[in-house]
Amino acid sequence: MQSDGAVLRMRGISKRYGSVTALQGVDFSLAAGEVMALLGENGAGKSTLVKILAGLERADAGTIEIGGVLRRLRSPSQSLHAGVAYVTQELSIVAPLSVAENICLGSDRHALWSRRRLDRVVRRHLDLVGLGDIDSATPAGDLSVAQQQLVEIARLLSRNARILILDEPTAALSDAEIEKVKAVVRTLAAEGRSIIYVTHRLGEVFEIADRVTIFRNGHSFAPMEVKSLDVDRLIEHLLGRRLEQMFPERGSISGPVVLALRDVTAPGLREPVSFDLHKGEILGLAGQLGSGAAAVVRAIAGVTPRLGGTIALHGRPLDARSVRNAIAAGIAYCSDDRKRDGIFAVRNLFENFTSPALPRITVGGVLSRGREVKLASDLAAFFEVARDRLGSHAGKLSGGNQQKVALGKWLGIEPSLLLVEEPTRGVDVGARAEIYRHMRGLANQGLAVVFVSSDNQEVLGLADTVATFFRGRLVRITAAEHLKPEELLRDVTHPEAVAAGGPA
Amino acid sequence: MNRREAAIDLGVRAAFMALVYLAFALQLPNYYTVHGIAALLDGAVLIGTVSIGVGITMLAGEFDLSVGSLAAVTGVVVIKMVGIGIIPSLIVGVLFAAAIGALQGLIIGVLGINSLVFTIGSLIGLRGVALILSHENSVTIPIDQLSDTDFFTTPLLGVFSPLSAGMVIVFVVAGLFLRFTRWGREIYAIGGGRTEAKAAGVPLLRPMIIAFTCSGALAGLGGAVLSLRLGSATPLGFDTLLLSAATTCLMGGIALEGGRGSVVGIAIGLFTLRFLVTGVASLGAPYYVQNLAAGGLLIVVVVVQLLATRHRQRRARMTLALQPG
Repeated sequence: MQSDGAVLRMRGISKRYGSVTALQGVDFSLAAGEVMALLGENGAGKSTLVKILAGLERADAGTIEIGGVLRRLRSPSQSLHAGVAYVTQELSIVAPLSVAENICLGSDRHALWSRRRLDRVVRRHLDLVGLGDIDSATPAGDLSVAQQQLVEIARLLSRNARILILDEPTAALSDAEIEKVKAVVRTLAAEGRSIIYVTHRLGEVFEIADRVTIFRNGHSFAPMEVKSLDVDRLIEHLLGRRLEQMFPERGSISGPVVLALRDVTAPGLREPVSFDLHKGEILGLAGQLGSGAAAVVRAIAGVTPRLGGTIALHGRPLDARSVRNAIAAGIAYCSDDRKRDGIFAVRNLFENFTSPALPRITVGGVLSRGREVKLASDLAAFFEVARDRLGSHAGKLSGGNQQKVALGKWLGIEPSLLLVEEPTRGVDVGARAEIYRHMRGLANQGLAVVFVSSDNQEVLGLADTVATFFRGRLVRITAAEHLKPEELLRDVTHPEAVAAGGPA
Repeated sequence: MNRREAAIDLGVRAAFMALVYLAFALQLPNYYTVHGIAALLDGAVLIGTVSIGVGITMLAGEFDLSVGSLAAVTGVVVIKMVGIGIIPSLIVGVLFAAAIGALQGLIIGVLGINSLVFTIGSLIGLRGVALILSHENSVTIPIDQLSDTDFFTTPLLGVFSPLSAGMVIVFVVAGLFLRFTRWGREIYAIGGGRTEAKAAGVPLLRPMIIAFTCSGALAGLGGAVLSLRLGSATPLGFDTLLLSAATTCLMGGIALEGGRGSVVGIAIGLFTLRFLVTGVASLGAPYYVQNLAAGGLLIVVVVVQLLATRHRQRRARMTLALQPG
């Protein structure tokens, strides 16, 4: 790229979260008026990079130049002043404020905010994103998630920034809404603004991007011209070399059915879901955020209400109205938010490991220290957590060890079904293999395991059976052995291409 | 809560206030005489003024516990300075209280400290300041200046004295500020969604300082005016002010978690409480009945509000879940 055309140049950007490296010396640059797509698997570092640029995260090392000037971006308002505006996956919509107020939030242009005046300011932006028929005085919290996403894009339009970041802007949108967003992106690029477009949908890359930068394991590769690529080449670059030795050997499944879902509907699902799960089987639910894969396990675990259909555990109907019911039925559930739901960060590992199984370590209503130590030591031994770590706070452990605790504590209730969301989120590559081995070990002992993952390698490598999800519906269920990575990637990113007769 | 639901919420609260009013007006003639209403209004000035300040910090998702102590300090300051004239000393007192409030907002904002924790400290510390400034004694206005403060309660226009007219102005200005200015809306924004507001580019420090400056200035105003009217200030005064102000805000539907509520709601909460407490007192009931009545009323209102919110959320969740997508 010619040096005079760059509006943004990031050099040597590194970022670690605890023991996990998110970015490692990444260089990135952006030319005026171009649409640059960022592609990569979950955890590859693309979202971290745009968050650093947006002022939401601080880099540990590296420099950022905008328009040739070295900038320090420590807060979103500083980034905004430097000419960077963004839409992230996590919404930044304040629910009690009106649509118009949300669009103007953070801008210094008007001091008096009357309903009429704001409406005049935001009207054309709302029209552009297809929210023309919405009353701009409606509280933003009343809109659907998709509409809120569009309000964020309207805010982006109002910002008059040189560099615009859209981080998976279409994850929650319908096709018609996606078309509007793409049109907006093209208009903005034509005005000479530069756009960073983070996406999982390969189709979008070909439709709107000029160049694409691929991220893998915290590294970025040199940008490629989209014109020089096709879907297959792109997928090849995206997947890179597979890590075969990461995953344990599969067993043979011949046990009885443990869990049977029939026409189950739940919040987050558009179509009913049915499947069977056998003793000793590992079922991987693959899908991106909002695909409905997580909605299925949450309904089984009693986190969200089941709205229709039946769930049977060991042939008996299961009606888990709460997580408590589900635990009583022998279902263990690990959420994807380990810090919030998975561990007690400021308690030691003895207490963490034994927390779900207090009745087991209680004698006459009093905790037995001996039994506590015994149970915790057994679980720690199984999961290969060093015994001398048992006294330390769970929050002090690495992500991998925390995940072992989050998983391991459930064995205390002797579950027959283990549900895990994103088993290796925030876990180092090395510790991943261990987690996989333990999950396989549990299945070999007769547990039925369901895990949800947006990491396709993990789904292919760990699962016996794979169910793919896309936008609230089950695409297909198939044996993992017979599923090619390309097929899986298509299923969870744009299965329409398959339905339309594309190569599968 | 959409606009219709917010209007219904205020309507129900207003109807409830009217009900309390009617219940006492049937037995107490001074609930509908000009003189009686003027007295009711004057009696509401202190708590009303301070409630606005406390309400603003609650809207920002924070809490200012120090208002009672700050009112006491300001009262002492104003009475000691009354030699420069009633109005000048009042102005100096309010500016002093505003500065203290701004400083609190700055510290809370910069350090990211929990405002409950911080203002417990200033609640106690400012009480100490009041004791130092007053040498642990009540301070009084010189006898020859006492009559200068009579104008506060001389009828001005109909039921309004300069005092109650001043409170109405405070309500109107605060209401307009919160509803129609960027700074006001930013206070709602940091209360209704702190991380979202930050991500949208709101500099968090600005609304934080504004909110605490308001609560400081209004607590000072309340303390100064009441002390001037009484002709004396005691360093240990205003010890129940915070509770009354918080009760008023909660009755008026200011959400404890921030971001929701309005000045109109605070006004309704204020008069619901005043009608009840004044009415019970006028009927000659013992003091503890006032406490029982006010406490009971608050609990009833909060529980009804909770049930209504639960019902609405459950309905919203079901419709959301049944929607395709």
